Amino acid sequence: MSVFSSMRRPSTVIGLLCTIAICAVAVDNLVFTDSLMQTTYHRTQIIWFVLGLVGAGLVAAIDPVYVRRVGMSVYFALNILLVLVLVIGREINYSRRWIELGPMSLQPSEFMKLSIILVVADWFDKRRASENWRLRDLIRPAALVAVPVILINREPDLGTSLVVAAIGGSMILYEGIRGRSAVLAMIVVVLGASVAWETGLIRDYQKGRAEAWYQAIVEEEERPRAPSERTQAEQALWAVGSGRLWGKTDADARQSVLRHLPFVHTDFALAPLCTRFGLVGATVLFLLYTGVVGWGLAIANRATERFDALLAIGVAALVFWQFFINAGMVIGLLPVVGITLPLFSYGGSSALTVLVAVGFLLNLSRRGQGRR
Amino acid sequence: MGLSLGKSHDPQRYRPHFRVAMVLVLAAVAALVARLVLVQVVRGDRYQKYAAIERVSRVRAQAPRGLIKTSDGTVLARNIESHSLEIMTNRVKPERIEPIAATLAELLDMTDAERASVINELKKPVDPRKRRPLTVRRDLVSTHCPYDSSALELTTEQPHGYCTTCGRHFEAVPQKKTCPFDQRRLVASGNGGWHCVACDREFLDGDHCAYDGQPLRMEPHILRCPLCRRTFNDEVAVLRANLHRLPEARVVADIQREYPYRYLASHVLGYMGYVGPRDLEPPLPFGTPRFGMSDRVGRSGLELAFDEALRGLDGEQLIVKKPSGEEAAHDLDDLVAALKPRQVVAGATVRLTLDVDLQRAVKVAMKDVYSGAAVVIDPSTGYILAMYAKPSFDPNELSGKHAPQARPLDEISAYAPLLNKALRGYPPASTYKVVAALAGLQEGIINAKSEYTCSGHYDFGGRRFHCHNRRGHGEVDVHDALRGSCDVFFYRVGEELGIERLEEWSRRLGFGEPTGIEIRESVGRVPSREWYRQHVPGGYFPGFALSTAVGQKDVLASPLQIARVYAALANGGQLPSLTIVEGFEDAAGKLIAPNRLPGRDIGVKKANLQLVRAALRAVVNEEGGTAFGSKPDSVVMAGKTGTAQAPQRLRKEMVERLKDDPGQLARLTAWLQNDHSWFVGWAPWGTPKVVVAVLIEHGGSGGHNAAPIARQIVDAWFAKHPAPPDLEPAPVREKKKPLPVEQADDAADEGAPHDGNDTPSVEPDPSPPEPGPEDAP
Repeated sequence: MSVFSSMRRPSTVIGLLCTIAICAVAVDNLVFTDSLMQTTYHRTQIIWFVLGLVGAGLVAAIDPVYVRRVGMSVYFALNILLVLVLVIGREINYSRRWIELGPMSLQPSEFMKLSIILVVADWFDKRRASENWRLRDLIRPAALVAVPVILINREPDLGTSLVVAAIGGSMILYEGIRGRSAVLAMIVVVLGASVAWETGLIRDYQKGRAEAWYQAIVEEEERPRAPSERTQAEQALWAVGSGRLWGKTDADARQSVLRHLPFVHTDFALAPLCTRFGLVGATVLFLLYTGVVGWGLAIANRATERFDALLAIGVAALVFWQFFINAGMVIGLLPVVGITLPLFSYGGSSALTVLVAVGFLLNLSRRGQGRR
Repeated sequence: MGLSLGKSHDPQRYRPHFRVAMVLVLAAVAALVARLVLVQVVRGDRYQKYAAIERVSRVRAQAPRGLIKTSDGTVLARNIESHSLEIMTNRVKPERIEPIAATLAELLDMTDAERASVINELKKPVDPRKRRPLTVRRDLVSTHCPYDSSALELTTEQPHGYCTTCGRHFEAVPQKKTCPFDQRRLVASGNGGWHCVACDREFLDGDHCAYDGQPLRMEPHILRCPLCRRTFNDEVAVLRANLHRLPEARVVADIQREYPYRYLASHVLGYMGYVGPRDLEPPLPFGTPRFGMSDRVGRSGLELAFDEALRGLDGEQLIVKKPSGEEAAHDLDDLVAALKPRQVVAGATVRLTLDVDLQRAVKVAMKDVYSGAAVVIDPSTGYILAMYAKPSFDPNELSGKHAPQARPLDEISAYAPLLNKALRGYPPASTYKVVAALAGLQEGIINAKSEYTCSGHYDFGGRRFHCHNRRGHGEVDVHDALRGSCDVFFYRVGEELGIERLEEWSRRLGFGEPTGIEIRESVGRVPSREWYRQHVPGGYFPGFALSTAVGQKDVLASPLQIARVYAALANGGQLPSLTIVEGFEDAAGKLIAPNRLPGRDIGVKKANLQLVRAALRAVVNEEGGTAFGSKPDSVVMAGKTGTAQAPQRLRKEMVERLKDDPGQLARLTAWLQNDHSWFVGWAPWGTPKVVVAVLIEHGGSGGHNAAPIARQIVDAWFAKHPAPPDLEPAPVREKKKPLPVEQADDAADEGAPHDGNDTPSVEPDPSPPEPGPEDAP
């Protein structure tokens, strides 16, 4: 049962090809933004991709049972790291997210995304239930999710904490929840959100972004402003819009706002792509992500074990939520949140995490192959 | 067994969940694509255009500062353009230094010494981080005469020689040896040249300096000042035309504040100074800069008081650049409209109540005064017609682009030229006696017939309080006491009134409160029992009431406050709220009058007021009045003199400064020992038009020194304005009492040296005053 035997299934091939295609486009995009900023991020990123693919291969090859065994310990270790980050972490852009390890800096919150998938899947798998869950049964998995979410939010890193919450939430929802409980949970979430808004858990700049977004959506007419007053979101929107249907030549794209767009290689990495390849190119990229997510969902649907299904769902949720929130932010559909586009934005921890997650999918599809 | 620890489950249970998830994911992607279509296709055009603008920068457009005018349209403060020549030192290569200096010397009238100093400055090493340009010449001649700011006229070319060694200018000798400017015959200078006695111009035929024999630089002058008749070259035009030869230089234009009347009303107008860190507090929200780096703000007077209104609102100018760097505003009109650059709002023009002619007359009247102030107000409206303080300063000097710091100027003189003495508190001395008189009459302590005997001194509380007339005034009633300024009478009144009632009446008459003038002023001081307890060791002592009643010791009032009080006496009891601003002019020149506070009634019975008014008339018009010598020719004036004891010691810095000049030191020290002299009055007596208050710091007797100045001011006013018929006949007194013989020659000599009518210098009992009941433990 080699990794390659699983390739016989078309969904696996499509999913894997989509993943690799995204990586390729990402490298191309980084080459372009590097030329804007005179940087060499693409080289580092290629190394991360290679490392990530090797990691994915390893994960695909080893039995998840081992991963499961260490799952809980890793989860606790990561939580301790998250606490440590708050104390000794390196501060970049007013938040502490990184731990220095020699020449590298690691972001434990990224790995928490994987860990939460394993832990939640494990928790549900150990319990029998043939019907949908009641709210009070879900307190414990919810707590498993809530602890890292709160810790990550303290860094502050609203984006990642939202992703972790979304992954956990998606898995719980997929597992099934009673109708009444779902309504109740929704009320709790809405109340919690408004309390967070009022009590300052949501920071002022975050509120400002949300309000700016609301205004931009509600008010039809955007008002151009001087560069110093422009928001990132606005500038990104102009960059995206100037791509039109087919995109611009690189020279044109370079000349326009891209030069002034901040975080053009990380959070807003999608913007240059939209400028260069237009609606067509962006839609193709979106379809690539849909392919990866669909692959995960298909594996979940096929899985015979509850753990396998939830693992696949978790990976699909990991890719989907990050993709949706980031893309929505860049094209002005959602407010600005610090979430990167998986595999596409520059960042080692993130690339490694997503590729390892893809490795889980590979593993599952291989296993499904062998089982049937 | 399976690899997983979990139990197998029913995959069917997940089926609907999978479908829902799939639909949600597809819907989300569809939403993203739909949004992309909106952004990239529907609105793509607009965003593409926005994106094409690399830089839209807003440049500050400074609002012109408002003018300060008088009601007849005379401009007291305006803006002029001034040019200076700067060399950007960081661009100067060493081999260019000599050519630059040579070119400058060719273009400008520059002495050899000046030229050497430019070379010297340019040779200094430049700190590349600082990049401060070298200002070679400021106030370049362009359109206005640098001496009197009149607009220059074009003239036929005037031959003109300039000696680059000594810097003298020579005109060509005219045909008839007559100065072409003053039409005076020229006088031979003895060195081959000629000069005009009237204008001091030098004339020369020849091309070598008459003084040092150096060759002259000959050049024609084409501009002439119509006022002083000097000729000039348009230096700005010459430099601009030759800037290609001086790529390192630039001509910088700057708007400067100018005060054409210079010393005339400098304390009222104030001056401008560079913006400093303190002006930036409190910071405006959003980090908006309140000022530009080289802005100037009002530092005193009206320039300070109305700084914000005069400044207006700075606007914005938009500069739109395309990615290629060229400016591209033409096809971006809608964008500029959308950016809504802030419009410049010009500063408001302030129209003053000042009368320039009167102000000038006041200045002339004060010409012999070292230090003092005079104010003229209109008692019916509260308008300040003139306000002059001496010594004055030239606000142009202080507001100039390279103004010396204001502080040193203040310190070089013992006379404090920057201080507006019309608004500073001084002991009001006898001018304050009207308070005691009115209070005594109103409180029933005295009436028109009450008499006290003045024997030249009054003993109270173990101390002897002297009258300024050591021989005594004899039997005096309130009329005589005011006319002859008898201290003893008012000691008695003060004793019976007590400090509380004196304080109450002082405040009622407008002491110790702002007059309403828009400039920052001192409110003076009305001493009270409480004040003494806080500020005087030993607390309150009843004798203080006596000193207060004659306006000495601790009472303080500014000349303007005194004028206001007398305005109330003049107009029949209405204490006006004073103002120096008639209103603001809007852009069209229409007057927007501000809301005025109404005056208030001082609440004095008509008969009592009339009694005091008659006495004040007697001060100037009756024999025995302290200002009898200062009767104006034009109208009947009423008033009151005052002589305030104010011995001061010379400040330490001044002593330090003058230690090499013992004569001046002694003069100043002696001067500071003199009394302040006061006169305040109004005219005409029955139908008051003007109230005049004059204070001369250390001027000696009020009757001798201040009253004549007031008389001169009143005469100057009624020379220009028709005097209304004095409707009120001179009051008739039933009692006509001969004055004590010795008083007649002493009456006007109020300021004769005396040890002080409230200093406990001669008291036989040196025991300290008994402690007040409130001081008891």
